[in-house]
Amino acid sequence: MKSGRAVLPRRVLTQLAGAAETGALYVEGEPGGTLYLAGGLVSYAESPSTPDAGELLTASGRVPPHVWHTVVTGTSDTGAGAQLVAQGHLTQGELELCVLGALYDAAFFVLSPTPARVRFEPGGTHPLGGVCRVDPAVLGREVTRRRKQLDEAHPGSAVDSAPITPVLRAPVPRLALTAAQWELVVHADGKRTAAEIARLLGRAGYTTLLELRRLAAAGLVTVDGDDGPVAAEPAPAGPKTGPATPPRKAQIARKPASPARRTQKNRATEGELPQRSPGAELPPVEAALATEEPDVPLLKRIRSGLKALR
Amino acid sequence: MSGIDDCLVQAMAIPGAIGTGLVDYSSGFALGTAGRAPAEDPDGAWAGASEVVNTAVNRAPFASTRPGDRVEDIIVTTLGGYHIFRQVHTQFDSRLVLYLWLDRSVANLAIARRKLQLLADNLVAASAAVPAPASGAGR
Amino acid sequence: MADMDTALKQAMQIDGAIGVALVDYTSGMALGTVGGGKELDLTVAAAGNTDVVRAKLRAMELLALKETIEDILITLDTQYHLIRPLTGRAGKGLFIYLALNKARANLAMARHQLRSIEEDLDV
Repeated sequence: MKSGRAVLPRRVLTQLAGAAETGALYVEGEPGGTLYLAGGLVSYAESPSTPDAGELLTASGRVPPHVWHTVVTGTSDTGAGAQLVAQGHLTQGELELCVLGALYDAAFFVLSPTPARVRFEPGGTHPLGGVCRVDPAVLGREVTRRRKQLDEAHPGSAVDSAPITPVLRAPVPRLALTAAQWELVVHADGKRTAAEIARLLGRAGYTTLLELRRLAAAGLVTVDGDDGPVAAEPAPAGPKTGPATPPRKAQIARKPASPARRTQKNRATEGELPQRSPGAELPPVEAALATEEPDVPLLKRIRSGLKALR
Repeated sequence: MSGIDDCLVQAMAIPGAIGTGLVDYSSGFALGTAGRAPAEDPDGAWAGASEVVNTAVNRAPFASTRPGDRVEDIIVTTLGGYHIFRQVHTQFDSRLVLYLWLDRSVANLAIARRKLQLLADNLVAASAAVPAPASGAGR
Repeated sequence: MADMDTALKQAMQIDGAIGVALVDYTSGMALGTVGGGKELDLTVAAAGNTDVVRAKLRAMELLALKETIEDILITLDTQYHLIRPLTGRAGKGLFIYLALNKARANLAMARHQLRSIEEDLDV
């Protein structure tokens, strides 16, 4: 089954659940992702906007990457979770908590309220698809609740997808940040998006968004464009051209270039998981980013320079 | 074999238990529950429980200046009950508490608290990962 | 009956006490604080953080704990934080926040003493 036109992913999920289908529902678009169904229930989910269970486990150092890779690629069907527990790498509790957490987290992004092109592959499974079963109706309600919670924290959705810039001069004389918020501010560099920061740190995507919205509400982070749509202007001498119509503020066509995006197939089997623990030396994301993402601070400096010339 | 459901069943077996839940206190979502929720609207109850934990962990009027001084648990005592929120520390990124509501006229708080600690530790094998906490009334 | 300053000083006499505050949760302000020192950071005074205590009480309402809260105990690795709402009519909306060093405190005793101090407090 494949939809040529864009549909609401949640509506498709409801239909598939009603028919008690088993298979993989691929959702295109930003950010998109995949939902796995077993007899109409959701068994796993993943999205480029949030670390999957494997990334959570390996980024934290809980499971060594080579062990993860061996188990996931060496297990047929959906038995990877059981294997990890049987071999003593995880407790059953850890496995369930990690997979459920990753599932709800990814579903939040996959079931975004914007129409997208979808494709259903009957029989498609995920190696971690044997750990839990979630009622799609419960999942849908939770996604709606979380979306509301985000808007209550801060109504501006710009931080959800655009590169995050820390505000260099604090808006108040004294700040109180949580450890998690501090980590986000430190890793916001004007290039990384919320999704990239979440996956870099091995932190849940939804929580990362929530904290970034709170930081935006407190005036501690911003997305470039709040002071003018710089990055949406065509990069000088770049091979890519900008949008034909002048970009509107706050609605800039500056979707994350998502260099870290993977193809829609099973990324758990691709063996390209980050291999660091939080706080360790950062991998060179900038190199990957540089290929597609405009260098926003540089562009800003150029703009200031040009303004000064006038 | 000690998954989430098993953990909740054992929590409900603690004398005086009225309700229990494993709650993600970042989103306010209960990954699993057993017995009664602490309010008529379960969603509101878990969101409220999360708020209690978030406030205690991140925004208490006093904060310990000692690095790594983590909140172990929070106990709210009411006229008729105890509400215990036990942090579940996983090595991977998460914000989880094991919640237990106890009938004060039946429960032994000290025993219930220790049992809940054991359940939370066993769920994620904390005892294997780090040395057992040298807490203790018994020492 | 004791006034606030006396009550806070009495609370600091409790074994293991390292800081005590009387907090108004409707405004989020600390009416008075004693102690603190190097073991504690009094964050309630921090700018932008005045909704702290309201959040806690709102959460209690959300939890629909229809019963009166006697106290709240937060156990850290090295400290106890004991929170006790004032029961008197004049003390409505106020509570005492007491931080204790775990190694030096006797929790049962501290709870008992804080209760007497609270009952005797005239705001």
